[in-house]
Amino acid sequence: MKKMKAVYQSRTLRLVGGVTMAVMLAACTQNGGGTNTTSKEAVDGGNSTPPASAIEYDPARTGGLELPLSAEPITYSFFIAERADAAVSSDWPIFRAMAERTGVDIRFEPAPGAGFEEKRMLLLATQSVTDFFGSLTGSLARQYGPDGVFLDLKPYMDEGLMPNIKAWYEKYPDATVVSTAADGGIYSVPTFSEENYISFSWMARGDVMDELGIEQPGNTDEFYDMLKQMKAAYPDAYPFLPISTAPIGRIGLYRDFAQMFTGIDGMLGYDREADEYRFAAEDARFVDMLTYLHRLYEEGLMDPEFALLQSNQFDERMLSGKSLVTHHFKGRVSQFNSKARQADASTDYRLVPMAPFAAEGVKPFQFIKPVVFDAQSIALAADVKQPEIAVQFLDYLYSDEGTDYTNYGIAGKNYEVNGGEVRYLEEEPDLLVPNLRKEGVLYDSIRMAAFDKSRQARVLSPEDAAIDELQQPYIVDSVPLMVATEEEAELEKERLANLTKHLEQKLTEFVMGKTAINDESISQFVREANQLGAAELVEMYNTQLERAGE
Amino acid sequence: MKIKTSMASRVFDAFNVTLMLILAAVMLYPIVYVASASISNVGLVVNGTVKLWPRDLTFIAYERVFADPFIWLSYGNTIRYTVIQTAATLLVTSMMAYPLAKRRLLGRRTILLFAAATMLFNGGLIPTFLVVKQLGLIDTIWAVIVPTLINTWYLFIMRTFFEQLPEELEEAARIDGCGVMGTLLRIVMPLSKPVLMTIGLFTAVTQWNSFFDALIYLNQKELYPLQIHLRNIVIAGTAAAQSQGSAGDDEIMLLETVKYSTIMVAALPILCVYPFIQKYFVQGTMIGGIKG
Repeated sequence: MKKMKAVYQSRTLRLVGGVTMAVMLAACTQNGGGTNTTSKEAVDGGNSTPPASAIEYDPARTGGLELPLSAEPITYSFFIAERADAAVSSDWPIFRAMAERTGVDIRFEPAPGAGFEEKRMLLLATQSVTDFFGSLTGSLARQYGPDGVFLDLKPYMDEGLMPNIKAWYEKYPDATVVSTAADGGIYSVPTFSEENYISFSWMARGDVMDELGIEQPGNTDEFYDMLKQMKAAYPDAYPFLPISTAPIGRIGLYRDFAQMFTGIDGMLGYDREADEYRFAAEDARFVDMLTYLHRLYEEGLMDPEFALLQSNQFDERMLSGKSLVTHHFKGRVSQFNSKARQADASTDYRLVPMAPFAAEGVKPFQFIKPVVFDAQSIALAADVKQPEIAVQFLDYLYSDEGTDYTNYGIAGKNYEVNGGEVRYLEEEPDLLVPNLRKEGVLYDSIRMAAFDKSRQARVLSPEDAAIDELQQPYIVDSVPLMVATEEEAELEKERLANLTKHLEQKLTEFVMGKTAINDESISQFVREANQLGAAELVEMYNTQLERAGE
Repeated sequence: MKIKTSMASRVFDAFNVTLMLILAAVMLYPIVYVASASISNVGLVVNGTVKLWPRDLTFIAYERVFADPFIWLSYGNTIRYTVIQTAATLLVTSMMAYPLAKRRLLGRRTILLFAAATMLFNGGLIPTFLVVKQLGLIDTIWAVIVPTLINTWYLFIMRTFFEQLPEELEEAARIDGCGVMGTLLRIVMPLSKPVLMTIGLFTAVTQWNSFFDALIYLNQKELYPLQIHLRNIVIAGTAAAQSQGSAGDDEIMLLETVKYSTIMVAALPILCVYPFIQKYFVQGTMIGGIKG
């Protein structure tokens, strides 16, 4: 077994960053500490401070920000959700390097990924937010910002203190829409990811397909034939294993098949053809979807426990050959392959991606992830000390220089530049992202923009390259960006969770044969769903869509 | 002389023993499984080959756990919180329970009612948080100790236990020149070992396992107890965690067996405490409980 590289760097590591930046750093003895102070206190971290003139920078790469941002070292607290696979550390080399460049030190206050939502709500409700408040959704910022929890960034943007963020906003006007609160203030800044990013992929066991001579399915009927052939060859297997039964959202059995049979993005979602939101059960083709899924279940082509699976059972079935096909995060293809090799180095196990497919007469497509990602926004506390410096450091995280740190890491250590091309130094593709993340690179809520940098610097495994290539012809723009008013958000909160649960349960009863599939039962299903708010929600989404169009 | 046992009695015994063995197996299986999985090849654990005994022995999961500096830090924190809380709880609870066990105490009923009220009502999360914040306890060890210092239920168990102690012993102590504090510390407390052990163990286990107070009251990672770390690792990768990982595309990538090794590391010490306290255990809860 390959032994993982030691991941923790010396805690006192000082790294001088920036081959690409062609910078020279004056020796400065900044004290990286500040860990024993309370959140709102200004911290005088250094014994000596770097004189302003000592730092050379390229205004083009800082977007015009003048470095250092602060002549006196200053420390800000930063709330962030901690990933279980990569512990947050205030001593991360990239933050040491950024501190040397900007004079701004960050002290993280991480909340564990499991439980951070509770903590976030408590901090918001008691107005105890940290200076920098990450892992925030745009809707929470819009809600709590006007109450005086967060700093209104708009005046600073207008003043020209945030040139980089302003440029991102100009490039992607959606950002203004998602971050402007009811009072006209901008209290948070979203993440700007990358264009044409695909999250999911169908995947199947390539070794089994080759063995049985199965081609990639072009539509749902061919998919059925494929499963049928697999079942014939492996009678103990249940070839198709769905990731979940979610009817609404980004992925899930009912969501996926609603799209494949009706063209609607989920049981209740956006219909691209009609350019409106619709309830899939009211579509004439809904009955085909139910019949199809029922058939998969009846004939043992789909795992009979599809509605009850835990994630570890899911992994077990995919790896042990009990299941052969699924629709999942695209990264799973290489993950499963490497896990299978770990268990048995000589295995034939080979998961391959499949192109999207749909029912006859429905165009298969794959949504791309929106560039403006407001579920991962960042805000500043209303009472942050020295707000001019804080907003500039926030802006720095969106600058060319700042996103080099958050996407690439430290030059010479994590990456190198050859003839203008950036390449990561980690050679093991499976370890690249986990290892970078342990140093704060590619970390959610820290990497705020320019995600495409990391894609370009990365050597894709053949499997991963194949996924993108396969999907390119099918990608369509993401669902139009919409913003809910406070009442609408309230309505959604009240209705959506219950409705989703109800749909999930009733659809499962159809699929498992507990409810017969006929006109009467379907119209009853529609009636019940509408009583629970399906129609109301569709109407609300369409109002939002109309507003967004204006 | 051999006592003849009836057939029915022997059948009953056999049935009893079988049932207990099955129960013991049910209890033991998860522990054995976690222990085995933690030292097995991760691939074999994930694809379900490991059922009971370890396969393809490897200690990489433990290497990972021990390579994390925070595990030791949080371990130390947990031990610190547990020891301090247990000692403080025993002291403070007995100091309150002892006078309440005396019938001549003025306003005894009222005080008991006030104490009992906290079993039914509490301030709620946000008001409690605000109180803790205004007392300046946030981000200190006291935030996880003071709010849960006295548990009314333990207080009642202890009071009932104290009521059983013969009054004459205390009178004898007083005649020999012992003050009130002295009577409590030198006579009553040593006689109350069972109840102290029981409540001490309850408190220690609760504190050892608690994470929510630490989650909300502590901001610095350096103060986090082990359970926060453990919970983060164990819950990661489950459906609940996936759906809330709003960035979405980045699944948590964690060696599955690290979950198991972390569980072992976190649970073993507290598990080891039980056998030593067992003998006081039944005695302590029963005496307090029945007459309470």
